Amino acid sequence: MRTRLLLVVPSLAVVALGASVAAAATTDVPWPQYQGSAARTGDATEAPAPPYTVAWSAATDIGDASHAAGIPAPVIADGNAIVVGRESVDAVDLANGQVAWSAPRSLGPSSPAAVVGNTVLFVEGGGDESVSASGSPSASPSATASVSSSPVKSSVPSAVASPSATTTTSTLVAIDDATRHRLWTIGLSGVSHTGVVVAGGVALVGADDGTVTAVDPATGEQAWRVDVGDHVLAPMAADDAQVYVCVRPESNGTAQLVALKLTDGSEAWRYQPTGSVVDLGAPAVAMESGTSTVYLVSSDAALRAIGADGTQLWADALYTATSGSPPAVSSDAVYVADQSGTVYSFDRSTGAERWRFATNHGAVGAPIVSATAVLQPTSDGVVTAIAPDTGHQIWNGSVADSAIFGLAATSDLIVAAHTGSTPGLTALQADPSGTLTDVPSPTSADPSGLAIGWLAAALPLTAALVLLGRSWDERRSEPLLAPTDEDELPVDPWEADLEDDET
Amino acid sequence: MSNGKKKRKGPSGSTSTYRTPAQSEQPRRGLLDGLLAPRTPGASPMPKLRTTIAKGTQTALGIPGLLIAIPVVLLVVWLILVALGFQGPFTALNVTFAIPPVTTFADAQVAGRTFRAAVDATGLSATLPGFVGLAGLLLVHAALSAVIATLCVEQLRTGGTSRWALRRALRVIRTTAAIGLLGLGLLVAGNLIAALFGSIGVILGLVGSMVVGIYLFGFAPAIAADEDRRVSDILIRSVRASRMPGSANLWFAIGYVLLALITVVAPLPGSAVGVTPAISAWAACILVNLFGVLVQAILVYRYLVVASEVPEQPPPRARAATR
Repeated sequence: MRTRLLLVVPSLAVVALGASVAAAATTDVPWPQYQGSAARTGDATEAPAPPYTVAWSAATDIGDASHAAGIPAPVIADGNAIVVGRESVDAVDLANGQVAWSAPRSLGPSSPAAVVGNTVLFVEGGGDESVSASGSPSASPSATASVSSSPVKSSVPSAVASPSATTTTSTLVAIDDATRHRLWTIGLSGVSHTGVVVAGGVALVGADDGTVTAVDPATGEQAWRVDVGDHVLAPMAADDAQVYVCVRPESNGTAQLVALKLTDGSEAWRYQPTGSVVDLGAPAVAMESGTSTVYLVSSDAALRAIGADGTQLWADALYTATSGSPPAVSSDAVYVADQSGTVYSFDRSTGAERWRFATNHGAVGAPIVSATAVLQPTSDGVVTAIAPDTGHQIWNGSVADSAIFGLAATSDLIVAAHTGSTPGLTALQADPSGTLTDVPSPTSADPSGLAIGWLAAALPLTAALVLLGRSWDERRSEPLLAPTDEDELPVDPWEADLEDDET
Repeated sequence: MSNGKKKRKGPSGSTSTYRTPAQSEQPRRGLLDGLLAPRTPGASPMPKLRTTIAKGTQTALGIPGLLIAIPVVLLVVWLILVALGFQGPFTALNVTFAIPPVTTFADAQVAGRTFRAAVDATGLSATLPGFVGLAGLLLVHAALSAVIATLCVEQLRTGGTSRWALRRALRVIRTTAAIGLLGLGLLVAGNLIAALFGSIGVILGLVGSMVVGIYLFGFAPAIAADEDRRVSDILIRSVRASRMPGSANLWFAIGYVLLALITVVAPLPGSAVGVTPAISAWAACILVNLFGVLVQAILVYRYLVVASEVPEQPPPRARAATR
């Protein structure tokens, strides 16, 4: 984007550098898909370093804590942060935090959009799945929905960006980000929670009926469509050749990770973990020495690395289960957070745990990793920055009063999508006047602190209780339930046994 | 060691060795009669709750060794758990001195985080670590409960305590371990009910199973410490004691379970993940566990007061009695 600007209007680059560094920078490092790219690695290498301060906040249609559903995580393109809300898709200008545009959307679970060129792809419809929903259209996963029905495609650009009528299934929608006109829509056979992933020239979307649909993002023509067997609920990841899909069983059974070839949707391999694993989280895929490795969490509170041929490379136990968000992956480490808010760093190659930091804020959204910090959003609106090398907390700050669903990054902003009393987007920027901390994890042993804490609490309390008991005891001349004769005394089993032996 | 509390060992069997069993003939009642039947004033041999609480508290606070043991045991248990991989929350220790199945409820959580099978383990290797860990925790609680019961019995009977109580506790452990196992069974049943009936099932199943466990078997440690009986006789006698008329034992059990659960789920100090509890967390944990000790002392006192009134045999069925 920046290149295009420089070619077309060279002088604007000078102006941008001098007068609006932020605006120029935001177009420098786009974040066009969930977790930054189709790989979902959360790679924010060029993101600003902590400490941060709030740059702006913008209200959008994400919904409050009881009305939000899905993963309304932001994406960034063309200087805007775009988030899929309950009944609209909203774009917020990164430069000033003002809503740049808003496009209507049929009610359905929010899931991350994807941007290809000037086209914004998102999913709409499927009904209300928020906790506030009552008697709403059924949006529960159903494996019985027909997958043979042809998708209903409409390629006529609408004059206005009107949403589809509320339906019990979802629709993939493409709009022009300049005009917000609908370029095309394609109906899906189930409710989609996965969001859109774009890789290998196709846009892919999964549905709860087990289908994965690949579409030409330019025309809306279906490239292929396959049924992977059971519910597809988690966001998918892709590299240049394959898309990785987590399949959750209807009731009993074991979850699976399926690799589909982007060219025709044929199955490359299928991984099924050993043991009782009823669900797998969203995958992230990273290349190393020309081969891909998929990293994902499983419902048995483990992080797993799956090789290019579908074999498990390593697996590590986490302290508690996770929310299923994809791990963040850097050049040498994998970062993941569990539900208790403990963030872990594992060696990418060996799976050896490098460190863990207990934020003690429940984690819902996925972490992202910059050159200087691992940023973990939490369920109570806090963003925690942890040093990748030491595992110590170097900054944390409150962004909202409820869950942060996801982060996106540019070279000068961190954008958080959150629910709460004022749901929407909040941007963080570097705070030159702020200070960094160096807080070790509460899970690190501190023998002296332990001893001091115990002594300071135990000694006075015990002394007070003993003195209280003694003062009561002194007033009492006899046992509370003194026996009336010797026969009522309790038996000493050992001495009674000895007496028996003697006799 | 001897404190002079020796006596001739009675004949083997289930009868008390030092107390003449009550032989009152009263119609056998249904299960719920003990809870719901109207009572006449002064009909119950059970002391009033207010009196029971005061005397039980006085009993527990009159045993310095027990008071000192609370923070010491908590520290030892915490160090062992942390060494085994537990990282909190520290509030899991708030029920260390509680009564099963309240303890079992927390033990299941601790065992799940501490004694985990390896990733991808299957079959026995997947379940054995958790089972062994849970059994170990159950035994720890059984031992603590046994010691508390015997100390309280000795304190109430003689006005002091000695090593006799610890030796006696070795025999009481089998009873308290059995109570723990029964509590585990009740919790499993409660979980099934909870799974079947949703949020109402959680109240009916989990809370109900705890109340039932404490209501029926709350007196068992006291009986085991005070009388030479087989475990099965002790459990049956505990049920009979709990069902004595006008006892208010059910309300006592409900109140205790609710308060105990609050101490587990409330955001008390120490409810975060971490291995270095703060002073406030230690203080809260010590006080909450003192509460557990007091409740056990209260149950011991309550039983000893009515011990001679608890029928040895089930009363004949009303129909048979009228024939």
